[in-house]
Amino acid sequence: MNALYLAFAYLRYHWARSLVLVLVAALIMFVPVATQTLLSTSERALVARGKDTPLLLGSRGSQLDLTMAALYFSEERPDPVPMLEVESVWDSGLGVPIPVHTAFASSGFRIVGTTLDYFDFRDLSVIEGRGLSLLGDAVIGAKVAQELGKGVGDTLVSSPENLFDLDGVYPLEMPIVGVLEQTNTPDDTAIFVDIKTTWVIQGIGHGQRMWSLLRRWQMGQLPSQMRR
Amino acid sequence: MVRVEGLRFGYGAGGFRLHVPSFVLEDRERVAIVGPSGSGKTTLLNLIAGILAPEAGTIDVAGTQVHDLNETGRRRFRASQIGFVFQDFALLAYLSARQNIYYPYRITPALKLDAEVRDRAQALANACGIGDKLDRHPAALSQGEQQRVAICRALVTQPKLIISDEATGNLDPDSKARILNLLFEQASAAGAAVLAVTHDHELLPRFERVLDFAQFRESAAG
Repeated sequence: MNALYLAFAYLRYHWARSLVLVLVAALIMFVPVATQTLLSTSERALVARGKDTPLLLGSRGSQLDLTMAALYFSEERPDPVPMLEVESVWDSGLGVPIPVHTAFASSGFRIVGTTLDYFDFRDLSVIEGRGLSLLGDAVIGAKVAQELGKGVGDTLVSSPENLFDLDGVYPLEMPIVGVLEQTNTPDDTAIFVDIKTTWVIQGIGHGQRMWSLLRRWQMGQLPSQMRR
Repeated sequence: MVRVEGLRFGYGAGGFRLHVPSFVLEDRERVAIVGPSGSGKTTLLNLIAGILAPEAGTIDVAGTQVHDLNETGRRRFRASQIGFVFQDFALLAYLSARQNIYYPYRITPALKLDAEVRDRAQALANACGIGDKLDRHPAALSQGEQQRVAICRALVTQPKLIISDEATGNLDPDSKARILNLLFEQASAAGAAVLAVTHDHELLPRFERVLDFAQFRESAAG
């Protein structure tokens, strides 16, 4: 009790010095704990996304690049896998393949071409607008909407890949039809489109034919089995 | 009051060594210890107070064999039987003068700070002329007033021995005489003996006996 009295008397008399001491001590203790917590949280978040993905298939090359591109939508560009391979997985009945195409970007955010299975797999829900239904539609993550200040009814234009390649990638204007609920995952920073839309951006189907197909698709003139 | 026989103490091999064949301080006696710096004056005070343990010899203070006590026993003995007055006052800056006087009761569980002690502290402070300054902190007191607080602290436990180590060393000549008179008055009122180290030869006539310490030093390493 007397020791406490003396300690309190000291703290009261040297209040400024004690305050600095307490703050410094708190900082000394807080920084490692906060850093560890931050690292643990980040590690858990990274690992959790990996753990939630049963199997990642890609072409030969860097597994890290494949993982970063497919799970975290980084700028790495692993070699593409033909769609035929996706279909062969379908046919094998071993699992549900979900293609992910991340080669393009718009306004600094990755355009992720995929199928509707992706939204179910990641448990993503649309809080504004609707999901993907037409070729060229875009559903954006929460952070994309926040940072670009865009929402349903606005449009996004894919970034040109090569201005001088007449047969190459041209910008595609995509209407935003939905905004996803925030998940605090890389999905918040993605612009989701149907995988066929990325093919259009890529120029597969060769320009005029694909544009024509896209217009017909959007006007509802294509057979229903080609629509999602 | 104090009886030292065959006392030996040294600070490490080849260092300063002290040998006191015999020394006696009678009840209520006032003895000054003089000697050159490093002759072991303070070491003897520390040995008598139980702060240091002797290598050989006996130290009897008020019937207590100090050399036989363990650390806890020496601490308890020190708090209850000896009052210290130091050159630098050794007051705690964060405590008021009143709380500095109570300090022995704060650090010694065996001593109880009750109303009687508080009244005694106030009476001592009044006698020392600082009765109205007890709520001030040391920084707000003059050096003479700080030494008066230290004297009150040394006497509040009603010790039988007052040990003073250059208690007037930091004071001006007028204050030295006043503080020493005050120390003697209060020690006399409490029935305590005074053992004081001093370098001030002007003060020596006020003591009943002077002990020249140069005779006790065995080597000149300290």
